[in-house]
Amino acid sequence: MRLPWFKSRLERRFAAELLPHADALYGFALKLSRSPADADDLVQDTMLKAYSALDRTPEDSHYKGWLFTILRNTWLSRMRRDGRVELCAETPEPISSGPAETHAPNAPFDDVVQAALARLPEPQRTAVLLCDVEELPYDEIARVLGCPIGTVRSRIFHGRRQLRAILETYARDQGVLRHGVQTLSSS
Amino acid sequence: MESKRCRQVDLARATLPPGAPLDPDSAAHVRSCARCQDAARLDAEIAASLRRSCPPLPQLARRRLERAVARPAPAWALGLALAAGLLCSLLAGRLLRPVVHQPPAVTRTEDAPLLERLVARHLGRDTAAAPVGVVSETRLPETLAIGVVDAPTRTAGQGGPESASHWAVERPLCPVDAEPGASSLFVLDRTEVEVEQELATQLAERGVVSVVLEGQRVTLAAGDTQLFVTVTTMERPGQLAGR
Ligand SMILES: [Zn+2]
Repeated sequence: MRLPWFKSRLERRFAAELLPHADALYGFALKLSRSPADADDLVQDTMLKAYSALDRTPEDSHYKGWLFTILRNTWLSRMRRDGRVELCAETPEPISSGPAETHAPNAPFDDVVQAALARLPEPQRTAVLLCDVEELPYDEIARVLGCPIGTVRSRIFHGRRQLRAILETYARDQGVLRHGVQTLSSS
Repeated sequence: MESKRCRQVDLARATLPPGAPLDPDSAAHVRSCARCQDAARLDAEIAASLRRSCPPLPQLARRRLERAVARPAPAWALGLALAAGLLCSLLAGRLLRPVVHQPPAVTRTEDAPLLERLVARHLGRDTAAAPVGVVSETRLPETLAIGVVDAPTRTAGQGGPESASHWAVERPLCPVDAEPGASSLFVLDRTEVEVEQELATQLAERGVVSVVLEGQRVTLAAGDTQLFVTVTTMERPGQLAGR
């Protein structure tokens, strides 16, 4: 039994420093796992791991990046445990054609983007999400991914290019692009 | 078509935080290159789409998380909360004069709001099955009134709280002549009772809230999953009967 005005110092830190990132973590977990149940589970696991280490964590820590690191590592461990290592591979599946196989012509743009994102190799997907959605600074993304900042830039560069390559036909058909493209992804 | 310069500009954009301006040379190229304008526009549309499709953590999952990190409060914490209720009862007992015994009539109060029902049960006017959400009801022995007239079997809410036993001996609640200072403790399951918004806000802010209902001081203290309600008689039954 407990009473809310008798929160421990750690509980207060948890509520003030970790809990505010729960929504962002869930959004990220959902894009990694593509399953609400798995995403929920990942967030619970991440938060409890962080909580258990909170008393050894300096008060001025970059909690958001730290939480994303824990969540990603947890997810990667599960993928390896389940023998789904190909999802984590650095090398992307070849993106030879446009989006025809991933969506119907009139599918909502957001659905098409989700499908395209799922085709990126995980390191690129994570780099793009942490940069474009979470707006984390590059050095923090590098810590999450455990790689140099140069590698982060390269992953964002390649990740965005691949997303454009998948989406350009659709985007042109939907009038998102002004010009006849087919040039965005050519390299 | 994409030129080598286009690729360099793509790389330059990948080294910038979202929304940061390009260097002047790259910006000049983009102004004159349809391909780079489209690339930037599509990148922006994709980023906006990714931000749109981020649902928040479901409330249920959030609550589970909050519960998971909650540690049991020390016994003195619960004691302090209950002491607030007991203090009221002791004060009421000291400040009021002795009374003439006038056992109150038992009436049907099943349809009344929950707090009123708890007051009625404290006064012995409500002897029906315990209202939904009441986990246990206890006459606090320290202030037990003299004049127990009956002891009906409780038909609901048999499970007592694990900690309340430190503070009160479980006894069947029965009609009593509510003496000044007599107190009853009700433990409610928060998931089954709805606390009025204003009261809930005050509870969250102050932890303990006291209201007066029918001359009884009703003190509410919030637990994680439980709500402790102490009803203490402040006035003489004669005064109550006249209401
Ligand atoms: Zn260009």
